[in-house]
Amino acid sequence: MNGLRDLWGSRFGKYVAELQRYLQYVFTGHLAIVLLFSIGAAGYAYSEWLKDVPEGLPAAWIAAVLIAGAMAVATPVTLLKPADSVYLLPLEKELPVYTGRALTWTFFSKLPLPVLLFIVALPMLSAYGFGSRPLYGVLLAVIIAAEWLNVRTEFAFRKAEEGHGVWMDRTIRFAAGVLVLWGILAGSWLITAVAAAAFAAYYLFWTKRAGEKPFSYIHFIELEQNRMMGFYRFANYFTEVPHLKGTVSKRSWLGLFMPDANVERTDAQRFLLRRTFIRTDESFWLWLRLTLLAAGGVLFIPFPVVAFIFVGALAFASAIQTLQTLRGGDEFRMDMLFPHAEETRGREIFRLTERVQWIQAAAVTAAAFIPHGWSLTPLLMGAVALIVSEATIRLTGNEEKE
Amino acid sequence: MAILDLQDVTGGYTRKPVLRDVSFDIREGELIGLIGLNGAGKSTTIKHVIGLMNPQGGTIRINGVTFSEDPELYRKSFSYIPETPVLYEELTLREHLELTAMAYGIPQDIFEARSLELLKEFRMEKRLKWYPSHFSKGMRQKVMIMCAFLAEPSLYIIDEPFVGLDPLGIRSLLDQLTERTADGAAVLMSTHVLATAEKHCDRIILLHEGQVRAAGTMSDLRKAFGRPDASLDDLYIAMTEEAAHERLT
Repeated sequence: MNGLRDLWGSRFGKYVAELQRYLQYVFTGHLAIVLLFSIGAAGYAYSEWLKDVPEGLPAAWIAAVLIAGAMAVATPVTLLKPADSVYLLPLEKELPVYTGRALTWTFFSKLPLPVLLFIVALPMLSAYGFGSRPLYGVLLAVIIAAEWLNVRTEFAFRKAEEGHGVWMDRTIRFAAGVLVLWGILAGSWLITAVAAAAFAAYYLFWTKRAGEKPFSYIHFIELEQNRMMGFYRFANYFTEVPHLKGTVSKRSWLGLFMPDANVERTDAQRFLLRRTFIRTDESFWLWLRLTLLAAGGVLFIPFPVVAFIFVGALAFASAIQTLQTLRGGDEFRMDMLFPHAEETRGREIFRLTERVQWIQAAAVTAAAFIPHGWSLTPLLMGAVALIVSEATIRLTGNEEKE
Repeated sequence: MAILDLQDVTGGYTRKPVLRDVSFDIREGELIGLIGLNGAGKSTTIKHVIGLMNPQGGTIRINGVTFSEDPELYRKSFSYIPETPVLYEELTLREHLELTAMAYGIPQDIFEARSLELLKEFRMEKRLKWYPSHFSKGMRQKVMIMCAFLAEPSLYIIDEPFVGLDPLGIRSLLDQLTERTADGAAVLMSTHVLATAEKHCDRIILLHEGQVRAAGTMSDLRKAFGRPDASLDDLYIAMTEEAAHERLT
């Protein structure tokens, strides 16, 4: 049916445009630079490690577990929309035209990760004497076939069970995948054959079950919405994403920072912004991640100069993201009508960002005392975090005024 | 003195105005219904009154003050209930009430007493620690209504208040409005529920294509349209047909 084929084509075009639109921010953003440094450092450490690998490491198992784990999570990308539960309902018989294309895209979009892990694992496998060049070719072909099976099976399982128990399904596929890959690397072809046969039977079983059930629009639409929301949340770390509906958690364990209000003495914007920062997952987890990363950096980076740059870069990223998150929000909020001066909210955002960056600087200083002892270096590291944060807040504040 | 006074207000989103020379006033103790078709300019009028849009011409005064003269005093004089409830997903019901009390400078003891009364009236007293994600649309609307009434300003601006409310909620809202107007407050209410508007509003403003087509009590409107036994529904339909006829001729 042309209609559903065209529908997929048009949605896919828009989806790719949307991905490109946000990925350009991701690949040019300040966090990407931090990520690039981290990948470079990890690559260097791995290559150093390969020069003198420790004895007795179960390299085949490690490679099999990592690759099979990456393949087991095969969430289908359907690009379905809420209105489809109404408009596509009469077209259920023809729906495979649409879902077939969706699963092909899912397969190609998921394949790079296990292949990348395989490529990364190759020097390790070689260092431990596992396999040979022809065997690696077989392994690559098996990975491609297993990825295809994983994508198809997860879709069939979700259709049959409306997504209930999907982690059990993933665990079973993961176990089968590990045995297939390990069997090839270890030369245990019997284990590979048995595990592969079990995997194929498992796929056929769920395909048959799925064929007996109607298409669960609600489950797949919800899944798609959550998937896109995850992408928007990620992109929001780099730029403001208008579609984003921030998720909220109570975080009552941080009640100390959200004391009960005395309505006569508490400032309304301070009360609101504190809760917004602490309870909105996006702002809170981003700040916490960057703070832990900064503390981890001073603990493990052996060169103080690099550690100073690292701490400064993260203080900048964390201050700017906190400011942006607190300044963003809906087109209309009730506090826009509150009877207080226009600049009150801006001043409180500035103040709160300053406070959380002080906490980050304190965490960096405390962490730096562990490797550097009672010396000036930890205090200087804290000072770098403070100065960079303060400069970022003030310069961004001035930019906004202009 | 009128609590709300609009004089020749012209305004809109672009250079082409949605509102053209809109004038009306609301006095103490009055409940005024703002009636019109979709796109007639009701929400635009309200956005101008609450200060979210600046008029391209004319003046809007609340208690004799324009927004530019004293924004804080202007904002303190009214509370607003939007058509679609706008809540903070990160605040509980109690925190919404507290935030309103802080913003409007309500003393703690008065806040406790007023909020208790409102929570009972709208049957929400057991949901103080709930977050908006757990509320139905009607409950979200009740939170907005309670916050608006908590401030006890001299003017209430309410956009489509009955959407999503259950019959008990509608009755509670109307009771509250009657009580507030009896105490001297003024209410500007936009609605499509014409039977309720006819029954409860002191005066009606019929807005059509951004202009006030007719305004007054039900008896004034009946006289103006020459239909002594007409309901507000009949008058409303007559107004739109008349306007369509004017356009054709």
